[in-house]
This record gives sequence, structure tokens and C-alpha cells, in this order.
Amino acid sequence: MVLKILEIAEIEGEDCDLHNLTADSKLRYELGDISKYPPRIVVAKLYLDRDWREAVLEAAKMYLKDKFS
Amino acid sequence: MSYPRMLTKGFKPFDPLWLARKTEEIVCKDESRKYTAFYATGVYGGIATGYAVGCCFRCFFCWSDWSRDFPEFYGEFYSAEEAYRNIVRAAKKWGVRRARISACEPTLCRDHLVKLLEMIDKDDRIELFILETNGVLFGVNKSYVREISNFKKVHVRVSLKAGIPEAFTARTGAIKEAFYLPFEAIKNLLRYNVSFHVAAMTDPRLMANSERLELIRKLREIDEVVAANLEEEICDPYDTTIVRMQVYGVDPVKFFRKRLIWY
Repeated sequence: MVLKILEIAEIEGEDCDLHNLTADSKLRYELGDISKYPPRIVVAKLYLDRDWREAVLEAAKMYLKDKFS
Repeated sequence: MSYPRMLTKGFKPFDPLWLARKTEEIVCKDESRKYTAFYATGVYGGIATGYAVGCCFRCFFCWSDWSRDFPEFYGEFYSAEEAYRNIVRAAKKWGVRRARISACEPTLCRDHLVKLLEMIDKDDRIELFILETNGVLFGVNKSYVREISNFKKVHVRVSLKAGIPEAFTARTGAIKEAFYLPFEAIKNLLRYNVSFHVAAMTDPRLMANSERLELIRKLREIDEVVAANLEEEICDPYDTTIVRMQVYGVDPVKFFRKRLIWY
């Protein structure tokens, strides 16, 4: 799920809110209120959330491996 | 050294901490700061903006108005409360719940910023405050970052200008020894659990891919999430950007005619 947010952020990460950038209702449901922010802000806030931190780190590693390895 | 305005060919690099102090002498007065306007724009999904005066970099691609170069001539002083009221008024007028200070280095005038954030934090009409910074003062001063970490509505955007010290000096005018300060800011923001992301001016017309990869490598060394969440910026032909480029010896017509091909 976080990997998907990072991919969405590549297209539009700052100026549009995440819930307007995806039709994935499961993603919006699981994120709840936080999906009202732009994707990069969503990732930053999830990283500070103890329940999400590991998932964010895992997704970041996968993302970087795919992009730069 | 005289107060730096625009970068010219063969300029003498300055210490950005010195320039921060010199600029504060012009744009800060007690807990007031100079602003030129308050309005709202469409970025960040719609955001009320205090257009403030004064920066400690002199990027030749900068879009800010001439108040960056001649802060003596532009803006009026607003107390933190006056700035807060004007920002909230702009938010209400445009129907937005986000706010920021832009067009300057907002971390100058610390007392002003902290008082403004105290008021923003207590106001339910604002849900998010974006603090866009070049990271110099947050890099040199942990206590400043710790103080900012008290404000739960703040999201910091650290804007990097270069991936290597020589390019940092060539683009910002600042001495190469200051290149590491924005990276120190990132470490401090992580240390104090501040919500933030990093942006970088990786426009391929300005930055070679080798430098971009070095910048990303440095970010990965600090934190993989920060690196993965990097916002890559492009340079736009604002009126002020065009003039600054010309003065620096970069032909803006040739520059902006180059095809923009992302790496």
C-alpha cells in the first residue's frame, strides 16, 4: 500500500491530495483522514506512526531497489 | 563583505549563517517580520500564504521577487499576531485550511516564526502548516528543530540545491563548507520526529544525473524513507529567474529551450 503511495507521489506528490489521486477505495479507507493530504505528506506522517513505520520502511527499500539498483 | 544581491560571474562565496544574520538585521524587528503580501494559491491543494522577505541563499534560478535581493526596499513589518490574522483571513477568504510562509527563508526571525506557530497550532481553522526551508538554520541549531517539533500542525519541506559541495556554491553562492548543513537539518528533523519531506532541484538542465545520484545516495545513507519520498523539482521561467540567470551568465533563452528529459 505504501509502495503504491510512493508511485502516486512520482506523478503528483505535493499539490494534489491523495484521496483525489486514487480511485482505490481500500487504500483511502485504510488510511482514513490522513488521505486528505498530498502523497509526500502522507508518507511522512505514516513514517511517524508506530503502527505504520515498519511498512513504510519496507516499501521505501523496495521502491529504491526498483529505481536505483 | 558587502551585502550579496544577485550572483554574478566570479562572485565571492559567502557564509550563509553570516548572510542569515545580516538579513535578519533588515527583515526582523523584535518579534515582527517583513512581508510583502498575504494571499492563497493552488499548491498543496490550496494554501494561505504569507509572502515574507529575506533569504540566506542567492540561487540563480530562484523565483522569489526582488525582495530577496533588496530586502531594504520591500515589505512592511508585521507582528506574529498580525501575520497570523492575515494568513487566517486569506485562508477563510479562499476556503482553505492550510497555511505557509513562502518566497523567503521562513526560519529567519525565529521569535516571529515560533509565536506565529503557537497561534496557528491553537486555531482549528488551520489544519496544516507547511514550513519550506533551505535547512541552513535547522542544520546548525538542534534546539530550533526541537522547538518546532512541539507544533503538531507543522510539516517541514527541506529544499536541497545540490548533491556536491562545488555545485552547491555555484548555485546558491554560499561557501562549500555549508553544503552539509541541510543534510544535518534532515538528521535533526528525524531525531525530533518532525513530519517532513525533502525536495531537491534536480532539474536535468541544472544537475547532471551523476550529481543527482550522489544526492540520493547521501539521503539513503541518512534514511531510506527520506530518500524514497524525495520530491524532484524543475526550474520554471519566472520573470525574476530569467533576469537572475542572465546576470549570472546563463542564457535563459537557451536554458529554457532545452528539452526537459527526466532521468
